[in-house]
Amino acid sequence: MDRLLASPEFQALAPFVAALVLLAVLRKAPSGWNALALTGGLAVIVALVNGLTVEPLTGTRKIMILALAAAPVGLLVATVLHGRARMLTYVVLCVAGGAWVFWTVLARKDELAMALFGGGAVAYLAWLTAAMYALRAQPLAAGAAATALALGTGASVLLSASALLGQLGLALGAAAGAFLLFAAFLRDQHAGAAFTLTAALGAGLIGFAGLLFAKLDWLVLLPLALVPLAARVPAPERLPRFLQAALVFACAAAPAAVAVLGTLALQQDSGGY
Amino acid sequence: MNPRLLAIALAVLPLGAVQANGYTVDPAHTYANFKISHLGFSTMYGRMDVTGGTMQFDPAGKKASVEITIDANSIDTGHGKRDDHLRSPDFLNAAEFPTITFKSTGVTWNGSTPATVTGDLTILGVSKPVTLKVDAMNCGNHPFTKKPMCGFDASATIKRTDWGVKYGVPAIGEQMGLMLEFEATQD
Repeated sequence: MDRLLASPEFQALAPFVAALVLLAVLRKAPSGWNALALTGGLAVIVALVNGLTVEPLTGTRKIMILALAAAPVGLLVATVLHGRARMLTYVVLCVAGGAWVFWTVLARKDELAMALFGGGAVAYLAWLTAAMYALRAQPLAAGAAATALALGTGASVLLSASALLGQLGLALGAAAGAFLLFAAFLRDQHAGAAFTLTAALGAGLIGFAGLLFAKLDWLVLLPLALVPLAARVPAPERLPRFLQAALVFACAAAPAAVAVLGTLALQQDSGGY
Repeated sequence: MNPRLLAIALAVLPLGAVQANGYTVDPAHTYANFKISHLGFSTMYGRMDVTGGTMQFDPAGKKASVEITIDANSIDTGHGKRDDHLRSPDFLNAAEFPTITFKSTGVTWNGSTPATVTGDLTILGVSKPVTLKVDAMNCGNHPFTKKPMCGFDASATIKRTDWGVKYGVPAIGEQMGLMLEFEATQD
């Protein structure tokens, strides 16, 4: 059993299946609760690779805690705040989460590096949160962007020397992919603000952690930041819904693929092992 | 002898005797080496730099203690890409936890020579007790500088998961050997 749970195939598939099951269970739940499918997918991979341990409270574990808390907190905020106030609250929450995760490392850097990395983290997290939030009412675009962003981030970080962070990103992407699959065939699926918050916060923190804790090149974050924009390409209404989903995902996946290929190209000098 | 000078000499003597037990690590000759099973096929060796440390050593009074600080970013297995991975959150998480420390808490003696040194090894901010076996220890004057110094080799086997370093278990060994080569010059 332990061998099965530790196998890469199982760990890749389990978050997707968990998210599918949750989406089926939540089908009649209020709009926006789909975000909990992302939480479910993440919870599975966290249980498999980390268990319930929070000590030592490393940056990676802080990311796990924040990503798991994002959907419930996002849903709570969505019930009391609307429009611009909600979006700004999400941005503030994401930036505050980034400060909690990255401060111990940033504090050791000289002033210039601290300003560059700190400013970069704020800009990256704020941009992803706002850009993903803009897709909340478009289930295909939100699902495609969340899937492409998280898979692209996970694969890039995996290639840049952290399997653990990479697995988190891939699991988030797999769970978002389950939502995209549902949305591709069911018209009544809604993404919602909490869904976009969870995807943006999870992928944003994992991507920047790859930069600060592993060896991800900052250039790789640029195409990843374009994913939410690429997902806004309108798919022709006359196409069947699943083809619209495939088209939007292809558009969203293009910059994510650039990020992954860019990581590979930048890694080639140091060779594999 | 002038009685006043004699009084000063007697007053200073105990202080000098205490200071003579203090040693400072020579980073150029102190390294933390390790070995670990790679997929069960072979044993991989690596090392890390010791950036500082002190030792108190009084064989007559059978009192000794040692503290060392290891630079986690200095890990070197002879392969850059693997070393980057070892520095990442999967293993040492060197960006967040740049130092590994060992602080002794007790020493057992075999005659006038330390036999084992027990202490707290802190990795990833987690402190766990480890007992180092002292394989050899020698003290004397440095042949070139003539300064009094001591050196020892010590080793231990640890289970890395005790410190939360779980990645790759069991393919990459859970148990790992630590070999400390240590030299210090008397203060």
